Amino acid sequence: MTLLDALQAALAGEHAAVYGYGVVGARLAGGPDEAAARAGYDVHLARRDALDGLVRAAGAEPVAAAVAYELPGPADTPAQARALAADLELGTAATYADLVAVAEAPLRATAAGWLQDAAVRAAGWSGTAATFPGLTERSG
Amino acid sequence: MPLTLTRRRLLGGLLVVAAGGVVAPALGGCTGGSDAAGPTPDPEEVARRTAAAAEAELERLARAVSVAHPALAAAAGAAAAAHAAHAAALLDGLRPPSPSVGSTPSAESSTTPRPAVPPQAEAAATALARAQAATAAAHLAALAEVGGSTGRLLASVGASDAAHAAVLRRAGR
Repeated sequence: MTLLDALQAALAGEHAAVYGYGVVGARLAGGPDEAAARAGYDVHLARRDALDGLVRAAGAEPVAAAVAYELPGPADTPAQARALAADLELGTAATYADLVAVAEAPLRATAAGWLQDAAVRAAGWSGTAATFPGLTERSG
Repeated sequence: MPLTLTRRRLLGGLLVVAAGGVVAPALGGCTGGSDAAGPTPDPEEVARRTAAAAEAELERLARAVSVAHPALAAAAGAAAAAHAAHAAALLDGLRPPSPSVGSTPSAESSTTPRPAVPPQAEAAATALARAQAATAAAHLAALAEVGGSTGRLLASVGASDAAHAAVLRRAGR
């Protein structure tokens, strides 16, 4: 995987996370988790923009968002919405882990910081911490 | 006069300490430069062993917290299992260190001091969470030197440590 491939994959992951948090936020609006859903949405929006800039700086055209995404699970109840938010976070964690592997020093630490943030947010939503967040070959 | 003598003696002692402080790093630099006899350690292996040792330390602390505080048994027990898995993954594929003469694994583990656990559950959870956060930060800092598959593993292990710290803080409340 090249650095550009990893950046594009992370950007595509952020597009999906922003879409997913839109669904999560709609379900959790007015409840006790509204602020956490809003914070997650804002973080992924900012990260999407950062990755968009990194892809452009690498001289490539950033991947565009899809019109809609197939979500990993339903969000009909608040509990389902929280589980979905945890899944969204761990989905972005996988693209950050791949970015850590191919990036050089300053960006490497940035990607690792994003991975850490995603793992902490996922634990906040699910109540349990993943053992190997982002390492899909080790199943979490 | 005895007072002056004492002061002079004290100052002399301080000077010796100061000189020792200056000389020691210089000596360290010399031995580091002349250490061409042994093979140069691979930075990835050094990073993996350092991180694995920190994870083993966290496992001992998490295990002690889970035994001392039933209210934290679930969160600290899960953390202990995760830290053990982290250490194993970091050491996977590395040569086991040559055992030192006359020491058996059982003798070694019996001399390892048990980590001190605060008597209050909230303080114990905070202490474990702090240790986990510090280790997560150390793993992050190590990424300045290593990338690739080792960097990817270190980043994931650090993220897990930070997530366990978040769970522990919540469980301790």
